[in-house]
Amino acid sequence: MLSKTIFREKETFLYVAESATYDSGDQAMFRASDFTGATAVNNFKTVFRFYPQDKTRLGIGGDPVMDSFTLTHTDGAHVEVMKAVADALSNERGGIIVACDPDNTMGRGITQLNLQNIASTGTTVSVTAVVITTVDA
Amino acid sequence: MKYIIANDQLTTGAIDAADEIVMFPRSSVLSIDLSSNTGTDIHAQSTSNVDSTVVLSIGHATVDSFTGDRAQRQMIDDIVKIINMENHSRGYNVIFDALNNVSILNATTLGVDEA
Repeated sequence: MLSKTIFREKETFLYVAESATYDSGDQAMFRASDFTGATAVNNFKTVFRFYPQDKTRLGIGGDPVMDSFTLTHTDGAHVEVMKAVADALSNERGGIIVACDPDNTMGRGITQLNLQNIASTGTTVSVTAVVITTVDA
Repeated sequence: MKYIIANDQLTTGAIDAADEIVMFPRSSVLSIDLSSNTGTDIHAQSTSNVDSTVVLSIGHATVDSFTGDRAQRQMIDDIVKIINMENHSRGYNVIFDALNNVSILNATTLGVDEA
């Protein structure tokens, strides 16, 4: 018999907002179960990719074009940012977690990620900006 | 879902591109195979292209010796433990992080290749 706790697991969404200008695509939520992975972009950016939300990007009969958001963060802090996002995505309580919201459009501050210092240098880690790439942006 | 992180760079200043650090869901792991007598590869679905793979190439002692053979088998056991998140309550597990000196037992090097 399956444990009841299995059914208590809820979906988690990451919220990101490029700015407080409410144009199409400036704010977005990404579902944890759509997450496909993350890689470094350059020395201060990491891209987080998700299966696309819109059929025009699903690539039916071909390859999908992933939706994504790219976080700007402290130089060299890619691993720490990935760890914080992984902890947020795997949160079994579910709900909405602000990944990056520089203008505080959600009212929960710039980020709710639990960012640890860079272990090798002790440098404090922060996220400062986000770029969203979906069908709307 | 839990996630796996791998980093093949030694310094923060050296991190500047894909193929250096990757994070993916543990369910994306496709296979583990022996690439040479000093290397074992972990294949996972690419983060950006469903037709491609991420390959984590782990270097280790040669398997042409008794100790090397044991080292490789031990390492595969450790990789499976990482994937299964045994004894790990966080949302991620690090399979190799050259920057922070994190490594599974017997692994000497790592190469990240996001095809």
